[in-house]
Amino acid sequence: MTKDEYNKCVQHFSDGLFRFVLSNLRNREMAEDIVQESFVKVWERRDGIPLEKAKSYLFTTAYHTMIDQTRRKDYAASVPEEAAFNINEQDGRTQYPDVQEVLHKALATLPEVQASVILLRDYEGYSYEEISNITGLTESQVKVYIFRGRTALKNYLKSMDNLIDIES
Amino acid sequence: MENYEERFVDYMEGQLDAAEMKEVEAFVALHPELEEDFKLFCSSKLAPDTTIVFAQKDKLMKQKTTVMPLFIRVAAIAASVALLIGIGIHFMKPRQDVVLEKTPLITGLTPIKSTMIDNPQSPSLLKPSTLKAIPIPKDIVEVDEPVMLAQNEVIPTLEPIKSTIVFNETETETELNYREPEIFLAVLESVDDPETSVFSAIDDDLYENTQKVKNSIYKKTAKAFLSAVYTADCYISETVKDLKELASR
Repeated sequence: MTKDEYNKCVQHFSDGLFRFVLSNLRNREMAEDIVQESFVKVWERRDGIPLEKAKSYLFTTAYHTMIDQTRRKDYAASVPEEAAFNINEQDGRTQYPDVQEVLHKALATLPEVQASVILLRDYEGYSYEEISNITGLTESQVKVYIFRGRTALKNYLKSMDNLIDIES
Repeated sequence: MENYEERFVDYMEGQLDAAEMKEVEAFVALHPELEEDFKLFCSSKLAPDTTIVFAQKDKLMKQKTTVMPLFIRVAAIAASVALLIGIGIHFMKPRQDVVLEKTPLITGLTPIKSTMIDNPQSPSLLKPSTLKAIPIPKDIVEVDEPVMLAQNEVIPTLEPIKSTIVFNETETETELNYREPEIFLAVLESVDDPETSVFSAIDDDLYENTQKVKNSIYKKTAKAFLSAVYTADCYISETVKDLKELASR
């Protein structure tokens, strides 16, 4: 990978990578560090990484770094408590949260691997095979985790009595 | 359909072909109590918030390196080589015309007397001056068979050099017109002066040559050595001055 190609990777992939890590960790500072670290590793090994593999390499590096971080003992203390889910009343009308907002709250309740595979699938559109390569899981495991994650998200949505009308 | 939830997930994941999708839709139509679950599964796809961006891209980007044109690089290398050659020639250029009177050698602080001869190539006639030699390094003193210059023996190919000479805190202004380059280098290497490190830092070859000359000093005349001692100090100051001027450009 040339320097220009590396810079293109920064332009094209850093936002998505940052959103992926941030959605998992919910800690901006840590997410920024992991993104930086991932790009540093790509730069250091750029000679062996073709451009078409760069994105996958970035997400793989970020995913494993993230897993390492979350398994550290002090990680839980570093993550702010999830804000209470608010349903506001303005102008006498109830303001229901957006479905995506609810889903992201629900995401925070999932085990880290389930959350990661869901995010890789939904944010980046990776196939089960690609997710398997990034996470090191088998495709069958990926499918199982996605099913469990979807079921948890569905149940979370269902539990929200005042959720917006899905049909609307 | 026993595993209808898996089929619902496969449906929203796009893992089913058209026929299988119709089968699921027909199943939901037959079981309206599952319609809510089906719709909730279909709504469980997360969308990224594109307003969230990584703000530190500039830190990650690698700047383009300014590449010096080849001809400039070649010119720079050529200039460096020319400078080194010039310094080398400057060092090794033989100089002229001093006759040293027969002087006892060996002892470190033995006064020596130098007299100048008339050299047609040298417009400046020099006054005799009496100088003290700096302490002779121990290893130099241990010369087995020091050779004295014969009286009035001229060391050939010398050129005048004007400078201030300081030995043993005795300052004498004179026009020094003698130098024996190889011995000078040997003295230069042995003189206990921090500035001499400038010379050995210039070029490894020069340093190695200095070492060789230092070894050969044992075969030189002691008188020539003593002459070189005070020539050396002069030369150090001149050359350091030149180097400083070069460095300041």
